[in-house]
Amino acid sequence: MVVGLPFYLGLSALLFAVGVLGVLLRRDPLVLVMGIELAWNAGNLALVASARYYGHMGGQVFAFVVITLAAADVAVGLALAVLLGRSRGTVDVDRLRWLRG
Amino acid sequence: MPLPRSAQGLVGAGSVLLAFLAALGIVATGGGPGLYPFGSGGALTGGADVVLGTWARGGGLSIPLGLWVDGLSTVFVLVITGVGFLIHVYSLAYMGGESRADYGRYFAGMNLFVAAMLLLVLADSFPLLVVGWAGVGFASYLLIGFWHDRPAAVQAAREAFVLNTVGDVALILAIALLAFTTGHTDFAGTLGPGGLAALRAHPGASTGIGLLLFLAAAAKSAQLPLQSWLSDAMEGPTPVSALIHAATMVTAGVYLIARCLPVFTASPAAAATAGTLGAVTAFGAATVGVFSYDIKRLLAYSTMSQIGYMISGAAFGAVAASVSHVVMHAFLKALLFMCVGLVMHATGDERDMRRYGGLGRTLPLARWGFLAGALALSGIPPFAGFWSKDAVMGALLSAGHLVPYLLLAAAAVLTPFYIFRAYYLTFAGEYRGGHAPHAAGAPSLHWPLAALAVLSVLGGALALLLQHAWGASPDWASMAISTVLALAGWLGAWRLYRTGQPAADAWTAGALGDAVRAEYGWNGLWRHALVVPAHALGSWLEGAWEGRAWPSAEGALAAAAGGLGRLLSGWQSGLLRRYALSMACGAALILIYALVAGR
Repeated sequence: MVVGLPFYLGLSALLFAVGVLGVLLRRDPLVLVMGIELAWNAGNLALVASARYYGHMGGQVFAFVVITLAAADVAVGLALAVLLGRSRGTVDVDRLRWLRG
Repeated sequence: MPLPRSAQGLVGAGSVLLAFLAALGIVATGGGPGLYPFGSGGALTGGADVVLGTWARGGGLSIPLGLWVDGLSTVFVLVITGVGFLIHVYSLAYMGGESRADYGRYFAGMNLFVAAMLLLVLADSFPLLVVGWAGVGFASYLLIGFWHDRPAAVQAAREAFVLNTVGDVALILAIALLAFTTGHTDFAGTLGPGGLAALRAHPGASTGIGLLLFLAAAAKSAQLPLQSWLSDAMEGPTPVSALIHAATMVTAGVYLIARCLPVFTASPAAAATAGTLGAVTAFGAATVGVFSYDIKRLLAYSTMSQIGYMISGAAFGAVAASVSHVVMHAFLKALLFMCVGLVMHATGDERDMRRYGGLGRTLPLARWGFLAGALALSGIPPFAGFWSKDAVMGALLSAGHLVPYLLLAAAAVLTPFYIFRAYYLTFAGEYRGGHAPHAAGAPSLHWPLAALAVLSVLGGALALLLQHAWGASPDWASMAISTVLALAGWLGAWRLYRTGQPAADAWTAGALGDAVRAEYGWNGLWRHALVVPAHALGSWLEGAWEGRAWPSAEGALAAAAGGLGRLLSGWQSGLLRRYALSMACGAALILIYALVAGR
């Protein structure tokens, strides 16, 4: 059996869904960041697979850009989590709701 | 800091003199007043179009920017700058009592007027004509209200502006209809042979255009039904009355109708309406003049009446007679106003003739000038007005327009009567005012007056030259009738008033006189037809709408906005995961939309 593009895209969609559900359902900021990372990399998988399939390097180049952005995202996210834990004494995102309208 | 008076006067009068010299230059280089603008078929044919560029283009129309020089515009330019210059010189001393800032403001307004009036008569397209048309209305508004601390002057300025705006709207509607009918807005396209053919092919549209043009002319030239502003405009300084409200601006309506002769050629109905209403104004205004006590208002009614002759003549195609009467009337009416200005200076700005009398001894120049102007206005041969006024009446008589002719003939009897009534009441008899009159002595008050007096006596030669060049021949039978009519009117005034006794004028008092002096209640008609309903509508709206309906509507609007805000603020929960859900749902919706729309 040839593992073709649809399989990669299907796996990518699955990973993205797991990442989004992680963000929506979990309350720990560390897990939130992990969910986001999972969503980023689901996108990366789709990009790289498509680049391979179409023989066009644009997808790989863009995947590198995404990796860089994801690293920056993690750095900011973890720093926020640490600061929140220090200043508010909790890292439960459901209790951090002072921006309520 | 305003310039010194001498510099203001130099700029004010000097610029008009330069314009007059430039106009003489046009004449010297062959663009003379002898060029009759219309061809044998009645279309606009002669004329040099000095194109400066294209003003606007779009919607299938192209509006040129240029000047149109032919006999008609040259005659008007010569009158505007020539008589305008004399009145500017007269103003130098007449307005000398004003503060330095007001002196400058006065000459700025007068020069603005001259510039706008020149643009009006030199424009080569209707849209450019409107610029000048509105400009003279604005300058007129500024100068009627020159003494802005007098409520009557401000009121009169406002009235003039409002009624002029009615005419402006009519003019713009006429131009739109003209552009719709002929496909052009310039004179060559709308009034030339092609335009005349298109107008003849659409008689209904031509009648509409003609009536709208007459309404515009009626507003500017104080004709029925928009005449009432002119008598109130006499609140302005007397030189302003002389230049704008007697010699030039009020003849802009005559220019418009003479210029648009092809429209009235194509629509005899519009010509008959305009010509008859002009004649009705000529007669009606003359009757009001007979009863007037205020000498400036009397001259204003006289102006309306004489412009009625011009409008009537121009609408019925007697352009040569009508335009020559514009020129003669400019001379004699400017002269009469200058004399009245001297009288008012001597009597402390008194305008009521019942407090004049015996001023011939104190003011001999004003007396002889007024006499020359009165003889010219009366149409007594060989003075200036005779040759042009009779030409209008002769043209109407030979063309068989009997009703307008009879009205003009009746006005021709009343004209010498009212002007000599004013002459005898002012200059004959004994002085009836309070303070003793004192004569003013500046030479710049006197020589323009003397120049105009000479033109009023001898100017008839110019009228005959113009009529000859434009192909109008004199009518001897009509001249004989006109002479008898004028002498009859003068004889009546002479018998009643020659001693200058106020008792002779007792018959003008009483209920009839009051009714006539109130212009037959015409202003009341406007007031009850327009002003009172508008006031009622305004106060109803103020109470019902602004007082009750609008605040409650405002409250409802505010409550709705607040409720919506409260509703939406529930969404702003502060819960991070709910925001993420919103984003995910939004992204999903966009995705679904892309999939559906991309199919």
